[in-house]
Amino acid sequence: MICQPFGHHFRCKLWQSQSLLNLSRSYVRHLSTRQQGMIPPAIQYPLFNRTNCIHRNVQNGTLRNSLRGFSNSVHLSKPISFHINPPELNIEYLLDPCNKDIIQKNIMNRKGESVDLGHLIELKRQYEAASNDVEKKNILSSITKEASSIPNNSHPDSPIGDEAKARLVKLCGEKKEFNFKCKSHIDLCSAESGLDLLKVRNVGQTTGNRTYYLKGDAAQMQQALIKYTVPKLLNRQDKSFTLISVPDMLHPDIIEACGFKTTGDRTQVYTLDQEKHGQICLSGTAEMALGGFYANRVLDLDQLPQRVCAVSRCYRAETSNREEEKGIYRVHQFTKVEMFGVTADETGTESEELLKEFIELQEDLYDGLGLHFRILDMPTEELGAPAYRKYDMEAWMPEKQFWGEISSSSNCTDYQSRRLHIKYRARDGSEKFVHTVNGTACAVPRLIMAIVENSQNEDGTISIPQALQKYMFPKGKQIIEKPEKPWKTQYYYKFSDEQFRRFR
Amino acid sequence: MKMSISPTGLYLHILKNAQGLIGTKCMLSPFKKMTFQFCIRSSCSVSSLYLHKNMTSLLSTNILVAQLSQKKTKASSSSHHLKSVRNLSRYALPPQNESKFNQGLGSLWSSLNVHKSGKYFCSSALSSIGNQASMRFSSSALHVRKGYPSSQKIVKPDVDVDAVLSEENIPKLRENINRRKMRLDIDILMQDYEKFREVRDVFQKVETEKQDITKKVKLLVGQFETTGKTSEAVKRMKTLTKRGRELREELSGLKDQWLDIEDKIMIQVLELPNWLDICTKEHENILLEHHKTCSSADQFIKEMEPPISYKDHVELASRLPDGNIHFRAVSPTAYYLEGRLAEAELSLTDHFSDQLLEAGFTPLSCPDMFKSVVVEGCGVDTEDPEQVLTLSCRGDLEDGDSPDSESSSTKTQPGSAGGPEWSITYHLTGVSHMAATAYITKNYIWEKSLPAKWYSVGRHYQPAKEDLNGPSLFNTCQSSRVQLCAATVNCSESDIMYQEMVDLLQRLYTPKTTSEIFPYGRMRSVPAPQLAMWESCRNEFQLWSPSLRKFITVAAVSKSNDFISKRLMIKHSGGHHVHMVHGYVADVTKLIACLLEQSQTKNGEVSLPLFQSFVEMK
Repeated sequence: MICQPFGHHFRCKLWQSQSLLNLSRSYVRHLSTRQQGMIPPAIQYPLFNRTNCIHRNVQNGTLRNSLRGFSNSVHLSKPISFHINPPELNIEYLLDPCNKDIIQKNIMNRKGESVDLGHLIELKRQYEAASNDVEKKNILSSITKEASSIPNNSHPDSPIGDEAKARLVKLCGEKKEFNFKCKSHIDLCSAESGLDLLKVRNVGQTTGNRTYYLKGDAAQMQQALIKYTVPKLLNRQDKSFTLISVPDMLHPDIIEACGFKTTGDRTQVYTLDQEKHGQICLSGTAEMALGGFYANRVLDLDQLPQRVCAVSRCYRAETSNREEEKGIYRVHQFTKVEMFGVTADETGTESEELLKEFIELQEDLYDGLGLHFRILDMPTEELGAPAYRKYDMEAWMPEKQFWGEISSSSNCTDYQSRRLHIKYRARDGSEKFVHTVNGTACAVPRLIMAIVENSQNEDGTISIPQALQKYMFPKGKQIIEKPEKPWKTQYYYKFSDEQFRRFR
Repeated sequence: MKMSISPTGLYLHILKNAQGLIGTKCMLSPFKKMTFQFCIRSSCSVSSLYLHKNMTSLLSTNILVAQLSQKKTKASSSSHHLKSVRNLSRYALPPQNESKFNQGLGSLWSSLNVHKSGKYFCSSALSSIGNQASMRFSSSALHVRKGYPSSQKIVKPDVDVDAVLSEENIPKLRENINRRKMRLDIDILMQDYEKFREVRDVFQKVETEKQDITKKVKLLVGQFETTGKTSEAVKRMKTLTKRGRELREELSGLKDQWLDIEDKIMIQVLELPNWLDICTKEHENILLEHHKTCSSADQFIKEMEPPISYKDHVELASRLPDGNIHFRAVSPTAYYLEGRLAEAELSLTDHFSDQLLEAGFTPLSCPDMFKSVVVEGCGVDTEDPEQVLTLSCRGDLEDGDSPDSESSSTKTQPGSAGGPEWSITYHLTGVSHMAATAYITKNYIWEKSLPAKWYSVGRHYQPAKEDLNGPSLFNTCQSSRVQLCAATVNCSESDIMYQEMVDLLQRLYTPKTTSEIFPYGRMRSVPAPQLAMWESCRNEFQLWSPSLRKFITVAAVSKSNDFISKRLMIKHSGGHHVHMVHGYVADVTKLIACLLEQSQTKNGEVSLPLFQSFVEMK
């Protein structure tokens, strides 16, 4: 029996046939319990024969292929049923010479990666002319590889150009006027101010830059925001969401399939040490994990649209030196409630309707918190590769006097579903790709920043928005004041003997 | 790091590396004597080690470092060597081969030592050749060798080597290690310590003499100015300066030796475990079991014996009308809780956090990633992939708010092959005992704000343990946790706090009246061999899993006293180290699984009010 070394985790045990037997047993047991969705549907994909799900491999008695790609022993004990095939792109459309100009223009409008469409069209011609299957397969695989960097189409109404071209859809709430000089959330919540809600200083040596601690009432507000958001999504008539608890660690293929780069200098994706743990990335948004949840599934038309939401931790390796992004505006780790939707593509407008629904929900949520915000129809350069259309919401941040993004929702049409192979059985019996829609319901740190800065009082206290009061402790708490028993700490590094004496 | 190496694993690993990194031709034939090249590419040079192995007597391992090519290898490649040596140490080695293997590594090590170029070589303590006990190849984030960039020196652990290794302490140390069944050899440590003292004595003697001479020279110079140069004085001056020069040379010769032995000792001493508490026993002690108080327990006790096959939580969940657990291989042990179960996760978290708020705990939301120094300070081996998840280096994210290093040449260079040498490693643990500890690392706490109690809710991450029982929520890399931490002024305060937390656990999991329905579980004190090195004692609350027919730990409280605070410079304003208590009131993920399993009826449905009453009590 040949077995590949899977990282250092490799264990001799696996050489014993006994464990193989166990493995297949557990697999069979597994099959019997939960069939649906576990095994990738045998997609008849004539040219790519990479569907090596474990089923086949266990039958053949080799484990090798199915384990490749997940180089972690943890997996050796689990049925490997997840596998992402190469994207099933709409080659007929993308490589039709008639569409060349439109696509080229779209790429330019979106400032996407340049793609040599002429070369691709030529490849397609070769593909059609090719006589044998092997040749065809090779050509198609290189077409897919190159063509997968073509971005999604853009909605005809999306403004063309850069950030400044964003179209204002709606202005919500009232801008709060201050008759005193308002403070930034960092100063307002620091230990020095007495409220002691936030620690962002002296954290570099232990947890790194741009990390933060929410303390006391601020940590409670984080929980309160979740408790405020989730029921609003779950308790809707007919259109309620299903809550899903998602994994925060994902295989890079899933993240790539959702349209995010996991390698390269500018990637925002954290990766675990491959030598120690195999190929694992940290999820940047629950959208990725939910995409993985639906991957390789074929849904029934009457199951659609599906609305799911998740509360998860998000990890983003992004940096910024902009002054207004200090504090908890742009951070590496945060909690977020995400909405995700899967729709059919029968009339072609289902996903647009769901996007509209998401935006209405978001508006309702932020209105309830008393924020002053604007809704923007984002221009082409801001869309990123997967989005067909994207709306951002920006809240007014009074101290730095700028609009800060608090949420974003996009319609990705079939961009993600073609890469994740999410399909549905259409009315005509054929299998079609679903459309995916995603939106932020609650990005905690930014909402806290907006709430705290906007509802600060002259005496340095903070009024809690009414909608959150019932989730605070004690229930109904209205104002965040200095704690009775302050909890003081002082960093060593900035401490003279004199200061220490005074501290005591 | 415990030494455990499997020949095959090692063999394959080397092969993999050799193939992966350079693609050198390797012959893999398990029964023949073989030689292959093991290359490591570094940014500037390629150096290679030849590893020669005789597979018939596995690891009689003449790990011959036949060639360490390019004698002028720079520091960077040496550290790559070290990294590879470390990698070698991650395999399970049958005991009989261990010493031989160690010999091999020892010689490998000494050749690496020869090639290290001065101060930029990673500090490491490899015990003498033939050491049969545990060894550690890694550098320490807590103890950083003198002369290294100050950016690496985050803390200065307060560890008094002489006190720890004093005559009267040694028997206690031995007893501690024996009781914990740890594989640390005190004799070898003591041998090193003898050497350490010798070198230190010599070093100090020379240094005092040097200082003495400097003083004398100064005096003479003063004399020159007042009384002018007399021939006698000039002569004395000459002998003094000559002696001074000799001493300086001697000192610089000794310095490396001194630093080496200091590293060796410090790293070993930092590996010594915390003292055991008096209530820690060798065998587990059941403190409380819900036999009589728990109405659902009766049923389980009755049914524990007859071989009715209980369904596991995964199967039960699939029968729920409005919830499910899905396992998808999107990452190791990845699971999705759907509908009712995901809601249960949130509402259970809320339930516990409400209880904690009422008990006077302060909520704290913490980062999920920690630098090695915190992780090691908290007594977790940063090099061991089975203890903690490590992120790959991202040097470019550092924009240096820490005091910067002395030399720009060693600064991190993102994207350079093999990773930057001084890059900072982060570890992902999420909500864990490190979270609140990182908050107060290198801090003074105001004495009046003690005792302080915090709790955090969120995701906890840890490497999953291998098991072949198929997917289960009992073995996951990710779980939801409600974590506790407390800091107190002194030992007796910490004992009180510990008891308070244990009582809290008991209260949370025990019904107040007999009519309440509660899951069947027990409280136990953890025996010494199962404690982590930072714990002095631990109490756990466990729930019964009918499908596995064993108890699953869903909550725990551990006492660490000042072990962690000494390593991470956490003091209170009275000038002493704080004493800490850590714990978690609920591993919500496991709790859900246990509740589901205990809620099953004979026909395999989940309909007992237990699940509902526990999940939906708010």
